[in-house]
Amino acid sequence: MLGQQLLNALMLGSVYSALAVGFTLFFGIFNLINFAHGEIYMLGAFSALWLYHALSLERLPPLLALLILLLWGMLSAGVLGVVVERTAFRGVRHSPVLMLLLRSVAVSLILRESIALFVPNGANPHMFPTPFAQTTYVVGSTVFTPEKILFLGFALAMVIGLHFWIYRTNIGKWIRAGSEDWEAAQMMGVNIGRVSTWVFFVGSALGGAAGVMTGVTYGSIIYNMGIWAGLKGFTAAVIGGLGHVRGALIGGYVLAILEVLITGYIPSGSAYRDLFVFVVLVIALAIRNRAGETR
Amino acid sequence: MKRAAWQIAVLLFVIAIGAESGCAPRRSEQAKNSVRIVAILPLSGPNAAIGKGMMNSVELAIREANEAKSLGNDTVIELVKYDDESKPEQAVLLATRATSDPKVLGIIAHYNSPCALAAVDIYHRAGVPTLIGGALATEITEKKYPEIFRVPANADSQGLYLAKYLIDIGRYKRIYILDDSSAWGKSIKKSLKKYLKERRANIVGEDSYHVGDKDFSALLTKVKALNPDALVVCGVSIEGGLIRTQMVSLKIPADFVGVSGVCTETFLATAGKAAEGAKAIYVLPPVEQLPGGQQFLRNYAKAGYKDPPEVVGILGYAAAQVLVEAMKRAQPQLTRQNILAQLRHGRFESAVGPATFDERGENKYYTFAFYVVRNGKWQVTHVVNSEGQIVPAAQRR
Repeated sequence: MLGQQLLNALMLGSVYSALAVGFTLFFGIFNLINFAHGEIYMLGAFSALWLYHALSLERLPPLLALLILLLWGMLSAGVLGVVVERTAFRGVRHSPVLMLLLRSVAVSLILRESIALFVPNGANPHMFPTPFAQTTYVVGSTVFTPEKILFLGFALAMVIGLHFWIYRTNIGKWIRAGSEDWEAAQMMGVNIGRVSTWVFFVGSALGGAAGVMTGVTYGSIIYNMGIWAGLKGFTAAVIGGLGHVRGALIGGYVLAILEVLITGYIPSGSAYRDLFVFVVLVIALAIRNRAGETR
Repeated sequence: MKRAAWQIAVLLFVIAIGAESGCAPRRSEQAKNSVRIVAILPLSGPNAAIGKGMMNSVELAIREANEAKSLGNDTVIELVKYDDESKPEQAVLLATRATSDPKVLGIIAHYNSPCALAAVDIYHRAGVPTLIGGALATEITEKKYPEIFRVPANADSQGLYLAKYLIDIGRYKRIYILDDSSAWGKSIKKSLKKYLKERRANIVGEDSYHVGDKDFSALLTKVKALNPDALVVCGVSIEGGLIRTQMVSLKIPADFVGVSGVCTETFLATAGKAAEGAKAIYVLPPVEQLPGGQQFLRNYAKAGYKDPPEVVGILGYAAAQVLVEAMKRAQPQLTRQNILAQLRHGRFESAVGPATFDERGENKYYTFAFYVVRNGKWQVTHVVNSEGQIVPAAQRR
């Protein structure tokens, strides 16, 4: 049971982490708590679903189909993220934090309701293709599915890739500089526009990947799936200390492990899972506040 | 400035007129008298498919009543359709709007229990005869409001028969129960547990999830360790389908037994191939086997609706039949009170069988059937006979 629960937590944690990275990047650079991020996640899944049917990907081998879905979901979510940045957040970068927050809530509502209203049957759940169907592998008492293995591999690649990106590239250096002190970084010649585009592209693409992972793993997506996912991703980012990419990655897994522990090992724990998660959020915020005060 | 204010006032007036005429169907214009029935069902949101099937069926029943001139030559029944989106707050708004229209003589309402629970007080205060079509939580009729009637059996009766099925037919020795934390899920779980305990069945554990949850792996891993032989899911289709899929991929050998909210096409679509072998109880035998079932299906097909009637369609149809019949008997004094009096004391024939309501407003004649998924379809295995025993369903081919 422990092995299985660990696998469950890793799987859930990968989705949360992928979402948390976006939240943390946006906050680190712009002080923006981007509540539209959950909708980017949802749209990544919807656009992958569209591609699957448009290109009849069921003809392809499952692994290839899955990789195409994942890459397309990332690409489309990334592009959408940049579009959102250009339209909703650029030019208001210096406006009060509250204004940014409100804008992100507005964008979130617009995206969500557009899917519900303008996509055929948009308010209903949509079945998401599961290319591997019910193939499973059993090791001891732990059951694996091919997509779980693939997604864990993806999550590992994401962690390594992000590390490389943040610590080994110029953009990464700029991001780190920007999140330390924006104005000083600008004076040193950091290109604010490029950093902003990259941050929104990468953050949103990871959100899109999380959306596709959710769709493939659970086989169904719905227009309002971003609300909860967004709250969970944000919680993970807060647990990891908003603004720190490594923290967000760890926060996602910490949150998932907490959820799995409470569901798996406390009698009737599943009923109290979300309550518990948000108690953790409140505590994490309180600690963060205190840390902020003493800084 | 003044001119702008005038323009706005005129605009608002035009909008108000437009909105008012928008909710009054046009075809009533020729009729001398028209009375209204309001149907409030989920036409969008997670239960949209079911709601549309039910709404079409209600409309079909009313169209047939009008064609047969049920209320005489000069009275036409208009149907007003509202969409509660499966949201209780929306249900309350629409219930208020519907009951404040004096022309409304009856309401057919709600597929979701939380919606019905939120709105029954309003129907009661306004004294409007209300037939509950699909919401089954026991608590809906708990206050014994004389305006509320329900055609299908409530959650308490369902719990009773599901317990009988689990013990006598399934012979399950280790039962695990899940509910979806909704009014419906909690209501049915409460009754099921009560009746299982009366029979000293072994409940190895229970837990709750939430409507909208997607990941059940941690919960199901815990369930697997307890090694139950039946996992009873007190919830609705989508989560039921996801639970079924994830229990299959975790290789949990227990039988999946769903309550009536699970026994739907949406469950089959959500669970896909994993649905095979899942069991469920439902408040009706297959539609073709009901007294008016064949005819209902024929008429529905003839009416040319785009969406299928879904399993609950016939319940909407039956509710509308009962309401229209009560209106017919209430003539010539067609008032809310007279219709209520008819509903309270009469016996009605409907497409799903007879209906007579007790002091709570529950139908005394109800039935259940048990299904299993074979070849991607729900197939009936057992039915409840008129003596209240669970017997194998007659094999029909």
